Amino acid sequence: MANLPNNILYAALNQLSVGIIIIDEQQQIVFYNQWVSDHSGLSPMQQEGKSLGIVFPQYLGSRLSSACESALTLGLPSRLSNTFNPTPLPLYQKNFLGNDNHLIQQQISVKKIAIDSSTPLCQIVIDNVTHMVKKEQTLLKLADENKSQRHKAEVANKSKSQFLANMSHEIRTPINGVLGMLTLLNDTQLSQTQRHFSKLATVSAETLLHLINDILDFSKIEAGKLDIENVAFNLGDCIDETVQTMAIKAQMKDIEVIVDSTSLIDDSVIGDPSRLKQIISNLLSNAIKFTEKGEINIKIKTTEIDTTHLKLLVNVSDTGIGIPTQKCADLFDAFTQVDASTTREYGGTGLGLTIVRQLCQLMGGDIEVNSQQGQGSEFTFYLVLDKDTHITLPLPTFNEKPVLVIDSSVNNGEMVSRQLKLWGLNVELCSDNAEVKSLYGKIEKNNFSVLLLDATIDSLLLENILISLANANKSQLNKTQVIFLTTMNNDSANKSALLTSLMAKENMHRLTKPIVTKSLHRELTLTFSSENRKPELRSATKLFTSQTVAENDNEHVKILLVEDNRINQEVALGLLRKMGYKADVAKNGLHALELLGKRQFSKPYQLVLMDCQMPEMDGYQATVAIRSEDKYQLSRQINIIAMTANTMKGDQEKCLAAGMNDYLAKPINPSLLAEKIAFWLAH
Amino acid sequence: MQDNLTPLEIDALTEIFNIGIGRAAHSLNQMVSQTVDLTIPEIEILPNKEAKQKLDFDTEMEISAVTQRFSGDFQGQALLMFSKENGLQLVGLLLGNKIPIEDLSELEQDSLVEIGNVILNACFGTVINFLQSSISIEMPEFVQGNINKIFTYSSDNDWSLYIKVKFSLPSQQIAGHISFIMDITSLEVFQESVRKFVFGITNKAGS
Repeated sequence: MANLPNNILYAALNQLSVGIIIIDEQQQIVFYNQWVSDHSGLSPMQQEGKSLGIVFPQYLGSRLSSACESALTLGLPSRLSNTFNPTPLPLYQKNFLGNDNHLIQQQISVKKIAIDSSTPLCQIVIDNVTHMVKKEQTLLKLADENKSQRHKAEVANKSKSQFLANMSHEIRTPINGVLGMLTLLNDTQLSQTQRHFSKLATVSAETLLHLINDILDFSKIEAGKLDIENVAFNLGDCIDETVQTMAIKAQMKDIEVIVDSTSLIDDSVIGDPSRLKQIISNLLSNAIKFTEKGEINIKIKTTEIDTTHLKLLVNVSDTGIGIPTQKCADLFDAFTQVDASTTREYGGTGLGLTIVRQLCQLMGGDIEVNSQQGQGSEFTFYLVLDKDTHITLPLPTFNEKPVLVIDSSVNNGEMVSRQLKLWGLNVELCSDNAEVKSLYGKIEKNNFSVLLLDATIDSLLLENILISLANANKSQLNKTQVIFLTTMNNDSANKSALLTSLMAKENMHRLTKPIVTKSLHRELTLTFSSENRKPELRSATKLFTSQTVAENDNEHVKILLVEDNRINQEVALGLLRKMGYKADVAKNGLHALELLGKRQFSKPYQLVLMDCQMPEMDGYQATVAIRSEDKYQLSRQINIIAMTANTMKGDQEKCLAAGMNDYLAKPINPSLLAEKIAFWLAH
Repeated sequence: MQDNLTPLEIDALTEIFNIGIGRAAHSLNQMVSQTVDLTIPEIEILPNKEAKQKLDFDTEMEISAVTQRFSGDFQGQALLMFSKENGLQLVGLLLGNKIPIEDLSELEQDSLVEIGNVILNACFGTVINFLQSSISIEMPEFVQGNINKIFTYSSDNDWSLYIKVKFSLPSQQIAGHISFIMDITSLEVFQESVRKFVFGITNKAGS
């Protein structure tokens, strides 16, 4: 190596794709390679012996020259980075010599040549980093663009969600008008045809409202705007309520709905009850929609994940038309129903299941479907819920009393007897007509203390059982108590009459299907505890009219209705009239303040129903004025209920923050309105 | 090690390194638009193991360092170290970047190498000028990683001349750490040079 001939070394140096300049102690050029002459325009070797500062005037006094100096005197090597020294020497791209737009971006190393020579030499190595500089500039530009795009997208998203909020208000207001008017119309004298038409109109308006809610939910989830609440609630109650509301529709189609919550271990949880209800009602309404006969089974199970978390597993299966297996996977995609004709026959947006799945996922779970065409469908979803620290006590158990369950539905019978066994009762189950006959003897011997009897069984059978019972009760002191399991919409007129007459008897009780744990327990407790109880007709559903019996003192005007929309005024007034209240109307916040001010000395208002969005002065401003301005001092404590179509999350907080006492979402639910008015008038 | 440097000798060493680093500050000010002031508040000679603890870097912490090897009268490795954040901050400030950078690009990494090179060269220059030592120095390199990765070239038995450097910019103060890692023989030679130098000045002053 050391003996490599000079001509080879020269050739090699000249072929390098970096620039090399060698200078001596006086900073005079000793050598530069081909690369340097190519990019500087200096002819090869012509400048040898000349001072570098004369050849490149910008070298004088530059950082490069001081770097060379310390290399030559002290032997210190230097690195000149491109960022601090972009173009220390006038070097150009090959075809653009002398063009300052095409200067080469440089990165330079300076080092003493370490040989034992009398005169120290220094080498300057020049790297062309033009490409790298360009690349980094491009990247920087891209990063900037990316940032501004993201900013734009955020702004667009924000205005989209604002648009949604407005849409929600604008669309619900007229639907509220339509629904309200139809409610009033139904209460007037109508011919049968008119009643039919009005009913159809109501159904259509309700469907429309439902569709809009679905679309709004879907868009909110898509926009990431849907928040999951975290409140403490009772899991069993939440599910039971949902099932009971949905079951009416099922029973109208003669479909049995069975809730099995025997595997529900923990009741007190923290989560979003309204979204859980939404999931279950969506699945149930699908099941009811696509099932013609048979039953819908809901199985609920909780398992412990760790000390603070629970997994809720809910299984909803039906005996309906089912779904072809290969289509199951697409079921949860937006806007798909199994086929277009299904959509036409059964209606719906095709968004329901998409929303359900998204809600499950938002709550840390998922959903899956198992189905075959003609074999019914089975949906299973799970969620993760927080355990509530406050623990509900399990329902007390009963002494080992003998109980007979007769149910035409095997599943329902099994569920009920499983539940009863959990409570410590000795249960005999019978769901077969033939089997029942063998039991007459046992019934007559008064072997059972309670008989749970499905009211839908064959009438003849029913009569025979009742005869056996009558025989038993004649001879025995302790009569067998009977709990009839009836549907909500009562059966045929015949049976209904039979049941009504039976109910008059003291040992007869009644429980409405679907059977939910709590009411079953309550009924049993009552049955066991009151031998001589007066017969009492109970129904699971509270009737709207029972709560709103007009009282005499509702006559004088106590209520101020603040609402800008004329139709909504009519609707609300109509509903109030029906409940026996009279109300004054203010058309906006200012008007409301004026009326309140006038009336505060004689017969002041006791309640304000306040719309939120109104021209001139909105409901929030009006409320703040009532609560804070001296002019309304006497009315300052008046109860104010907000009525608004804004149902985006946060609206309720906004109302309460403005000083309102309560909140009602439009369209107004008449029974809820009655409840709230009664409550706030009493407070 | 038989005898450590006396406080007087350490003082003298700090003084001459401050002169050297002053020159580095001058060079930096020429390179960048900012005014940078460099000072050395502290110099110590201590075993590598203690020097590492002195650095106050968590073992998992990312460190950006510029290193130059040296050989001759004494040999070893010089390191200028910053926490990764401080390194980024320094480059950002010196380049006048408005937006904070999350990682050094290749070119920015190179600018940190240049800054380190200027500062380490100032230290080498001091040693060569004042202590009359003959050493040859290699090109600077960039190293990044945790403290153990940075110190790979040396063992815990080696010694460090530990120098703390304070960068004072108009808006910010950034601390860097310099370590001249030498083996025990090199260290003895180095200390001898320091003693000679101090003896030289005290004698001159005395005569």
